[in-house]
Amino acid sequence: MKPRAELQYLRQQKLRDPALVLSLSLPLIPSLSPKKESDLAIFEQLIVAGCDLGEFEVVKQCLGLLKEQFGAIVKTVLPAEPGKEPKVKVEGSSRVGILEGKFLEAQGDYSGATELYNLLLTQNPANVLASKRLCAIQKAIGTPAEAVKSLLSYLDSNPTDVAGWWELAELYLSQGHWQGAATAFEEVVLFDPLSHEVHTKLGECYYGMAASSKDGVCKDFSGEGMMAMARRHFAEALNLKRGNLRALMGLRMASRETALRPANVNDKKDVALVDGSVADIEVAQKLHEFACEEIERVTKGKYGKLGLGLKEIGRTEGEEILAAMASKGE
Amino acid sequence: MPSESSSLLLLSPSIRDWVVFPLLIITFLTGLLRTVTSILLRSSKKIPADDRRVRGVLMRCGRLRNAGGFLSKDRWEARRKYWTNSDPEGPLRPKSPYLPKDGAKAAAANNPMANPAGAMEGMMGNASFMVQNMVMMQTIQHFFSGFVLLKVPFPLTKGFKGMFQRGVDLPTLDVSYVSSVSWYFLVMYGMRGVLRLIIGDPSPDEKQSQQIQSELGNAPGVPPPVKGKDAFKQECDNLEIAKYSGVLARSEKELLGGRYPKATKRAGKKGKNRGDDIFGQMGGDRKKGQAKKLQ
Repeated sequence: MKPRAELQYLRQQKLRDPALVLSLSLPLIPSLSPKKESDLAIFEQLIVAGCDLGEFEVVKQCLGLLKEQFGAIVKTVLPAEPGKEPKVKVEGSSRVGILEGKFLEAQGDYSGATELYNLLLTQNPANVLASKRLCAIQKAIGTPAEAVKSLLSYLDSNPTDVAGWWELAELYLSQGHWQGAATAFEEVVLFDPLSHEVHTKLGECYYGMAASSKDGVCKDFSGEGMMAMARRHFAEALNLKRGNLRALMGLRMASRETALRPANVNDKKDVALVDGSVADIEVAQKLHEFACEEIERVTKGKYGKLGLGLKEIGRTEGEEILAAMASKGE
Repeated sequence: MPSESSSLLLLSPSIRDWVVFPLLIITFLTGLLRTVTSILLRSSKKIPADDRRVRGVLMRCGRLRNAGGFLSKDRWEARRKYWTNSDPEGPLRPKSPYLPKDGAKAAAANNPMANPAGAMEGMMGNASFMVQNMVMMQTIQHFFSGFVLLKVPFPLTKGFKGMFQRGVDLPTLDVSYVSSVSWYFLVMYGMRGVLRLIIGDPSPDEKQSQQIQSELGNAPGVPPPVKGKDAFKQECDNLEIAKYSGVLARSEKELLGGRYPKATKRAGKKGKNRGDDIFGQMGGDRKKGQAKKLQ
């Protein structure tokens, strides 16, 4: 029973280790039967692992057994009534259908897989797995724009899929589309506001938007500048998880933009106040200082020996700030 | 004291052996039977995709109202404007693209009477429970009516009479005596925890399997469809009166703690007229800061 217990552990923890799964389950194959309910999960695991590693013979054998037991996806065209489109009836196990689709995908037969998933969707339009696979196929073979399009249509019918929004944001990011990515990440933040990862990501998007605009104070959304928003999201991420190095670096870079800008008394944005009492630039300077110190502290234990030189960078940044303040006469 | 001693009853041990324990066992066994039948009667249904979409849209709007403070004001306002677009084809308006296309079908789905199969579905689960309950109560009233089975070892107020002494109408009987029908009810409701211990929670594999099934678009019980138009209208009204309250502005303050820069008069120096009201606000803030120091 031991390999079974190990396989179960892998399943429950959702670990994807195809080599391990195959080595554990291959010796079990003779004892597996699709009639036993407890074996079905192992079959599924085995098939996915086999697809991952290209062990198509085993997969074919297992899929055959499952199809025999539960019925493959079959399309039957019902005789058409005059003047109407012929109705299509799809029968078979959708769960086995998904596995077969994955098998087709693994073999590179994307058109066959697409057809199969579409059949599954006519059988049950609420089949989320099939529509997700369709997006994955688009991502694998289509242009990024096509992938985005298919993901958008998926999100249109499944608007609460947080992972889907995240995927959309990553797709946008891969194309350098900061604004689209920010919008998608905002949607993730709305659903999961206590995740420090998404605050970090959103901060990066805002930073990207601000930094890629002309002078770093992109104000196409009136009121608070993008850079300040980036800073706040990085700060929120750090509030949720101290020592989040990515957020610290982001905070340092975002606050630097404002902190190092020579203060211009006549410029409206330099006297912009946070909470009606504190100048934005002062907050940025403090944040920059804080980020530099924190980076130094966090990296000292972990990376200090690697000699990444982060400490020195932090120092010079601090000196820069001091110099900037001195030139301002404060 | 005399009233209490006068109401003291001697209960025969035979009642314990032939009524109390058998009732306990029977109730336990029927409880087991009921769980098993409910599992057998549970059928997998297709989740209606349109309904899920409507729910998703409502959820998104709800999240915007609840967690909207994490966005900047403009981004929040942009989203709100999108959702509350007053165009009849706006996302939350009667002709919304998010509503199911064929209105007639949706109306039928909204009316449970028009869909007897759906109504049956809900009743099946309850029916097995009700049938069993009725049969049991009839049996108990037939065989054991009027029995006083046991006495709970603590005094109770009169209010519990209806609960503990159903089927025994003796105004003078002390409330801590329990009648047969009441005993059945007490055991039946108390048995749930015991049953769960014995049957156990669904195994992780089963749970995972259920999750996959729901992703495949099947669920054991499909909730009644939401009335899209009405729900949208209400959500739209909610969003229209929703107010933005940013929670992110405090994040920097929270992160810096004591290092957060103190309020300065710098802003007040420029542009006297414009600065004055800011200065007024600043005064308030400074007082707050001083109060904090004192604490």
